[in-house]
Amino acid sequence: MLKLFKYEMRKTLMPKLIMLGLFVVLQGFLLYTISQGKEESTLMIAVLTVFASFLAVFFIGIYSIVTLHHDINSKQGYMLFMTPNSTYKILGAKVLECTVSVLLAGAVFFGICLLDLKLIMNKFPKLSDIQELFEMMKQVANLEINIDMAKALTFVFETVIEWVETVVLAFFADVLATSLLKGKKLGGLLAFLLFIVLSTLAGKLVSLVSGAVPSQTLLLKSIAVLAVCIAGWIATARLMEKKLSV
Amino acid sequence: MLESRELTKKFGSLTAVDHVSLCLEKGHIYGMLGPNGSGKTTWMKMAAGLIKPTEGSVFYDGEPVNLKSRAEIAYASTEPYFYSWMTIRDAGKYYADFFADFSSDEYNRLLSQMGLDPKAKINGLSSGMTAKMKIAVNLARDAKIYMLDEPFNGIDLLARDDIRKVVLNVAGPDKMLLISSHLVEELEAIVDKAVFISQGHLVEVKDIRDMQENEGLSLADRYRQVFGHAGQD
Repeated sequence: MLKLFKYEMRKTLMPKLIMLGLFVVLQGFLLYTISQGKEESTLMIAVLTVFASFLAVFFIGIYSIVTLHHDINSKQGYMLFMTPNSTYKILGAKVLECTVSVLLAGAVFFGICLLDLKLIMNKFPKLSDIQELFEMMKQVANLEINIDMAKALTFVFETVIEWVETVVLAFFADVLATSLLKGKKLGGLLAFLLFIVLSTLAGKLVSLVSGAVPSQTLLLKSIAVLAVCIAGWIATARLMEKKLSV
Repeated sequence: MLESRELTKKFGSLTAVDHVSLCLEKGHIYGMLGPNGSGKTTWMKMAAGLIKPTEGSVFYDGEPVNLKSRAEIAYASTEPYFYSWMTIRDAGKYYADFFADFSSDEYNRLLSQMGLDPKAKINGLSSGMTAKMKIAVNLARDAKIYMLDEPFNGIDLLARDDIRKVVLNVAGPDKMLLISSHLVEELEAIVDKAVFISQGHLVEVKDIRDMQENEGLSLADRYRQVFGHAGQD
């Protein structure tokens, strides 16, 4: 599966490089405004950078779904489905690529944003008032001030498995729509509608399971989401194996 | 060794392949002949496992086509299917990564024989170069079955000569080749058996030498007879 993963990463390399390139340009502007001591412009670009980071991570995640759609709706799909790899492996490599890409992109962009913030605070001490304001707001809202590492990791874990669940359901919806409406114009729309229906159903199922034992909500929720991921992965791979023509 | 039983494929109301039962044996080079839309490509794609049949099955060595058959069947589609970012060298690496029977040395030898530059981007190749590239990457495999769909499409005489030479080189008693083409005269110089398909139906499988010796017919003559222009020219 690692070889498949390698090629999935290669297939999605170009948009990642474009995102990174745009980010580097923004960083260039930011460093320039910092060096020139332009406080207002620096703040504006910093906000833009944070916004762009979220968009970039989202786009990279979505692009993996676009790649699958392209693979099963174009002749380039032969490159995948002609090889002696099971559909489980093919799909597994795609899910892995999507997860790793989003995690890496998130870590890189978030890390750079933190560095930017530190740099800005050092350069413009007046802006540290903003940090104090944040702290006050957090206190007013009764939010935890100290970051608990275990909770932070739990948050990351939850976010990742929920993202994987979204990707798997999107893959299933797309493969199902393509198998049913091969070559038809409404395939994309059907896939989207199926995705909405599946996500709603999965959401209801997860809420039902996680609410079963109030003291174990988090654990049950994680188990339910993982179960949806595994069921979705098996169903999609079976569908590809039995029904999908490329 | 490669057999289809009652193989049928429908695309909506169109039946592309209609209950085709056909058995292809090793040690032969088969030509698959039929006009456009007769079902040749669809049959090959089902044998390669890329298209799922509506009815019937394809068997390789007695088992339905599966991962093992994909490992032992080399299929060159008539459409370009390589990733747009690939160079000719990348395509070789890709095949080497996934097919245990792929030989990088043989690939490089075939590239050199056919005058292809490994550094060239596949996207920028002419149709003739792309056709040669598809042949090189598939024939660099030591596969049991080679299926070449329209390998001579849109290419000049010299490129056709190159392809014909390398195709004949891989033939052997434990191999089977299936080549589809509209260029009947071109095929006659390569194949020893001909499979005629018309409107999704199998018409017949003919032994070329037998047909020439006993019926006094060339492949082109028989093609005209089968597809409606008997004796006219």
